[in-house]
Amino acid sequence: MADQSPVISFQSVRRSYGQKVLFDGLSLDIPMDETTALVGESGSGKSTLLMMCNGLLAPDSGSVVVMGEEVTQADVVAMRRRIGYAVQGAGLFPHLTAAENVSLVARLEGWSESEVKTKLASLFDLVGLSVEHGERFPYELSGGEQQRVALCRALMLDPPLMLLDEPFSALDPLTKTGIHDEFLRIQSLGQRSILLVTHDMGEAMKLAQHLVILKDGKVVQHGRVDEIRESPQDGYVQQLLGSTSA
Amino acid sequence: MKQIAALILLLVLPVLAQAVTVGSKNFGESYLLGEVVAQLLESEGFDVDRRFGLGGTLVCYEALLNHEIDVYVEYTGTAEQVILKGGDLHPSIESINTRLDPALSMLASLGFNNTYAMALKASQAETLGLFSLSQLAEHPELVLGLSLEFLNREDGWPGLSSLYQLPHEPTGIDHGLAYQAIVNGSIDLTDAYSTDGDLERYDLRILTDDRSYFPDYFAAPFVNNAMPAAARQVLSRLAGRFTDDRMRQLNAEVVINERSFADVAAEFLAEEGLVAADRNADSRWLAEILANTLDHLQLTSIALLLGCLVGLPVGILVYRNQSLARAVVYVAGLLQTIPSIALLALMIPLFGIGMLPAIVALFLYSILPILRNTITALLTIDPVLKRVAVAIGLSRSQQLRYVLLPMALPGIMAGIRTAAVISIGTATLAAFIGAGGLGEPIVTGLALNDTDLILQGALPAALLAILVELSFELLERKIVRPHLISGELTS
Repeated sequence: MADQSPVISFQSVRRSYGQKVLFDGLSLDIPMDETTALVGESGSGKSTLLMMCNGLLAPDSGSVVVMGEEVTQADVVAMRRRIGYAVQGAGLFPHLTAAENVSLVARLEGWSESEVKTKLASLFDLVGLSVEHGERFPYELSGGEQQRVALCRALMLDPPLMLLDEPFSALDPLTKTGIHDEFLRIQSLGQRSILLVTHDMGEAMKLAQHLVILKDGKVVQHGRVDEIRESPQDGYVQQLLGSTSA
Repeated sequence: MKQIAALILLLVLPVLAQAVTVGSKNFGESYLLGEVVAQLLESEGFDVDRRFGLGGTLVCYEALLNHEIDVYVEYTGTAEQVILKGGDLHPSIESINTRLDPALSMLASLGFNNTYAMALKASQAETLGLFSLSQLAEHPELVLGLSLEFLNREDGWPGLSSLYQLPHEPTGIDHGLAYQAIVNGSIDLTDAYSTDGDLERYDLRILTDDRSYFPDYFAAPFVNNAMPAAARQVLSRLAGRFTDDRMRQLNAEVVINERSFADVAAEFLAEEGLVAADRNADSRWLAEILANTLDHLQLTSIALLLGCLVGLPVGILVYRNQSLARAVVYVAGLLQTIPSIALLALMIPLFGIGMLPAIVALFLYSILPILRNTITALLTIDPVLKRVAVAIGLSRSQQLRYVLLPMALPGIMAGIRTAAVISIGTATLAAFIGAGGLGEPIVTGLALNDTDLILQGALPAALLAILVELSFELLERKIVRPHLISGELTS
C-alpha cells in the first residue's frame, strides 16, 4: 500500500475567498482504494477542498492531481464521470424520477436499456430500495430514501473515486445508522477510493480508514484512524475524539 | 384543354388587373370617401386593396409617401397646415401641388368643403332670416355655446368675433352635448364641422362664412404618382361630384340610418351614374369576424414565435453573466415603455404599413416577458442542483437540456403566456397601421361611435386571449411534470 500513488494529491495549493486566504501552500495526499474522511468544523475549508477535486473550484495556484491527471488540464467532463458525487440533502433533480436521476449520465454514455435496468436493480438492492422506488419522484421519497438514491447515482458508472460532501448530515440518527450500514456494504464491494467530508467525528471513525483533520485551512493531523485515536496531535484533536465517546 | 386555359386565365387575371391600394383615415367621412374611391376603381377592373382606418394624417401621409398606399382622400387645409406647414387659409390645389413632394399629387377637389361652421336650428334660421355670419351681429340676443377648443383657439372664436364684430358672450360646452343643447333650447348656436352628419339628425343649418374667415378644407384624392395613370383618370371623374349638403347627407346615412360605408358609397356612385347599381351589400359579418380573427392570430403567433426565437436563446446566453443579463433586460424593458401607438407609428418609416411593421412591433413587445422570465427561471434554480449537474459530469449543453431547462420550464412558459396575451391585446391597435385583424372593427367602431362594431372586434379578441391561455395550460400539462407547478404543499 505504501508504494501506491495517491488517488488525490494537493500540491502547494493556495486558494482565497475574496480577501480571506483559506489555503496557503497546502500539500496533502489522499490514499488510493481506501476511505478517507475529511473532518473539521464549518469554515475549516473541507468542502472547498472537495470541490477542487472535480474542478468545481480551481486553486489560485498550485495543483490538484486526481488519478494521475491534473484537474485543470484534464477533460473535466470525462474526469467527472469517473468520480461519483453526492451531497448533503441528496441533490436529486425534482423533474426526474429516482431511476431517471440515477441513470441520466449512464444513458448519455450510451448504455442500453437492459444494461441500465440490470445496474439499477443491483444498486437499489444494495442500498435497500425496491425497484418501485425508482418510479417515484424525489418529493415522494423520504430523506433517507433520497440519500440512498443519491448514492446509487454516484455509483452508477462504477467510478474508481467517490466524493461525498456531508451526504448523511441531514438525516435523523436512526436513518443515519441504517445508511451507514449500506455505505459499509458499498465499501466491501471492491476497491474504491472514497473521500468523505463530514463534521461528525463518530461517523468519520466508523466509516473511514484514514482521517484528515482540518482547522482554518490547515491540516492538523493526517493518518490512519487507529493511529490518530492512539496519539492525538493536540488538544483540538483530543476534543474531537472526546466528542465521539460521549 | 379549355378548362386548363380557363384555369390559367384565372390565375393570371389578378396579375393582369392593376392593383391599387386605397387608404383612409380613422373617421367616418374618410372611410366613406375611401369606399367611394375603392368601389369606383373596382368597377373599372382595378384590383383594390383597402387599408382603411389609418391612425391620423401623418400615418396616411407616410404611407402614401412610402407608396404603401396609392391614394387616400385628404383635405386642402390639412395638407397646407399639417403636411406643408404653411399658413395659407385658402390654398389652391395648384399651390399645394407645387410645394408637395414630387412623388405625390393632389387631384381636383371632390367639391365639398368640410370646414368649421356655426350651426343653429333650421327653423330658427328661417324665422330670423339668418343665413350668414355677417347677419349674426344683428342678433346679439342669441346664446352661443362653443366647444372649449374653438372658444380658445386664436383662429377660432377670438378671430371670428373680431372679423364679424360679434357682440356675443359665448359659453363653453362639450361638443358632444352642444347639438342636444340647441335642440332643447338652452343655446342657439354652436361650432360644428360643415359636413357633419349629425347636423342632419338635429335639423341644423350652418351660416355662410361670407367673409371667408374659416380656412378651406376641400376634400381631394391625394395620390402617389406611381399609381397607374388609368386609375388617376378614373379618379378624376369624382371631381366636383360632392357639395357640402350632399356630403352631409351621405354622412348622415351612416350615422343616423346606420348603413354601412360600402352601401352608402355604392348608392352614391350609382346615383351619380359612375357605377351600375347592382351591389348587394349584405351582412357577411360572421365571415368577417372569422377572417379578422385569423388575421389576428397570424399577427400574434408570428410575433410570438419570433419573440421566442430571440428571447429564449438570448436569455440562455446571458443569464450566467449578471451585469449582461441586467443590461439586456433593461433594453427590453425600455422597448416596453414605448406606448404601443407610438411604437407602431415608429415602424412606418422603417417597414411601411400593413402586417410587417405590426409584427415587428408586437415582436419587440413580446421579448421582455419571455427574456425576463427565462433569465429569472434559470437564475432561481437551486444552486446545489446546479452544482450537482456539473459534478456528475454533464457538459454545458447537457446541463441545459436535461436539468436547467426542464426545471426552468414552468417559469419560461409563464413568460411566453404573458407575451401571448399582451400580443393579442396590443395587436388590436395594429389596425391603425393597416395590419387588419380584430382591431379593424374596433377602430372603425370607435370612429363611428358604433358599439356593435367595437364589440365585433373586442369580444373575439378577449375570447382569443382566453383560448390561448387555455391552450398554453394544456400544453404545460403535457410537457411539465405536475408536481413542479402544483400549488399544494407536499410532505
